[in-house]
Amino acid sequence: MNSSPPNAGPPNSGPEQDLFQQLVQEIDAWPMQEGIRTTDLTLLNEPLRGVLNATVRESFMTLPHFAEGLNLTLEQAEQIVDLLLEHGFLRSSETGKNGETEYRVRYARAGRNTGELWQRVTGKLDDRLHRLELNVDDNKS
Amino acid sequence: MSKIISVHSFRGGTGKSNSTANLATLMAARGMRVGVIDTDIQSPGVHVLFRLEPDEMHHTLNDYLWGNCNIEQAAHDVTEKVGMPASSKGRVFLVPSSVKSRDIVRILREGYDMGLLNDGFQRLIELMKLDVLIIDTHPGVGEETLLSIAMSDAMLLILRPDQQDFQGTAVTVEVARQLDIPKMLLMVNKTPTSYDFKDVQKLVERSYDCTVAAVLPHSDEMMTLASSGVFVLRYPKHTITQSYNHVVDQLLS
Ligand SMILES: Nc1ncnc2c1ncn2[C@@H]1O[C@H](COP(=O)(O)OP(=O)(O)O)[C@@H](O)[C@H]1O
Ligand SMILES: [Mg+2]
Repeated sequence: MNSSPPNAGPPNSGPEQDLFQQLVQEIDAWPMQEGIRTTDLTLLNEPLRGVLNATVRESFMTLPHFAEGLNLTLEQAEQIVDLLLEHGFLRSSETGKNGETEYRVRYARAGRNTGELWQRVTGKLDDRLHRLELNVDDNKS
Repeated sequence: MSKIISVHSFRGGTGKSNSTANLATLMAARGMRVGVIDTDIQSPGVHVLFRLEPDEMHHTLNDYLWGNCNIEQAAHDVTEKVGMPASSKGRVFLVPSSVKSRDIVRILREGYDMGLLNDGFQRLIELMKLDVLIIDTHPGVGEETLLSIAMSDAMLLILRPDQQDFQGTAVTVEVARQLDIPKMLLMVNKTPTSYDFKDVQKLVERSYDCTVAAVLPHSDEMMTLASSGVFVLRYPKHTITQSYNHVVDQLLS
């Protein structure tokens, strides 16, 4: 797309189209995830990082916000948002005040320690604490 | 507009919980409605400063994250407990984390839905009509803490004049910048009184390219209080109280 001379491409070519393609490539490079981690945000490039950071801070964004933040047309922004939904960056939620769809960042479950060993250790700990509690109750009655 | 402020440090024992309690109290004394959330789920503690006993916690942040209550049900009005008059227009509402060992283990074991944290903060601000929400965080750069930072309008990053703190703080500053935090202030705490405070301030500001809101001394009064109350109410004329007031000015400006 960089080789075509100015104004020679299809009607929707130009810098906007380049940015759009860049965003598509960046998002497609991510695996399909069930939500993201905050650290993922720090790995993104501008303008995607800025827009998603703002989505976290403002708690949600609508399509026109994305279009503005990403400097894209509404149609392009919609495709990007669809891609973000697909890759687990966003979730769409209850419609806003005037019937607009709101997009929120979709977070992976917190708790980094999900390995089997961790589960066994905390499981044992939980059992022991439970038994301790029962003993305390027994002693009380 | 409501402001979310996270109080953070790279290492533990730096003074986050004490600073959270003191800043919240000073803001309430200025007539503001202040929320405080203890997101240090693994090692909760700020409730101690507000003199909220574990058996007085009707609901905790844990209950909210497990879907057992709404976030506002976990908010405790601690204004009078802390020693402010009942008639005070400003209020402090604390959402504590559970200190029951089983609850802490359960959170570590099962994790939780981080989206609930985000939703909860917003809902609390709206329903309790808060002017400001202060988040007391877990040290380091773990996921939950980063999310708190990402959601905040301002961050107060506390460090001691210590080489380990210096290095770790650099990491946090970098990450916070990547998260586009609109305002970041540093506070140096527990500074030996033999140091030149102006020099410390200059050195730290130059190292991180970031404003130092205050340099607080290591204080015997603070140590002796031992988190059993809020310093600024006990010592209203102390230089530490003046410094905390100065930090409030900068956080709110
Ligand atoms: N300026 C200070 N001078 C002396 N002791 C302090 C000072 N600030 C905090 N402390 C003490 O340091 C300890 C840790 O403080 P805390 O607020 O619990 O830290 P954190 O929440 O960062 O772990 C407490 O015993 C507290 O009384
Ligand atoms: Mg603490």
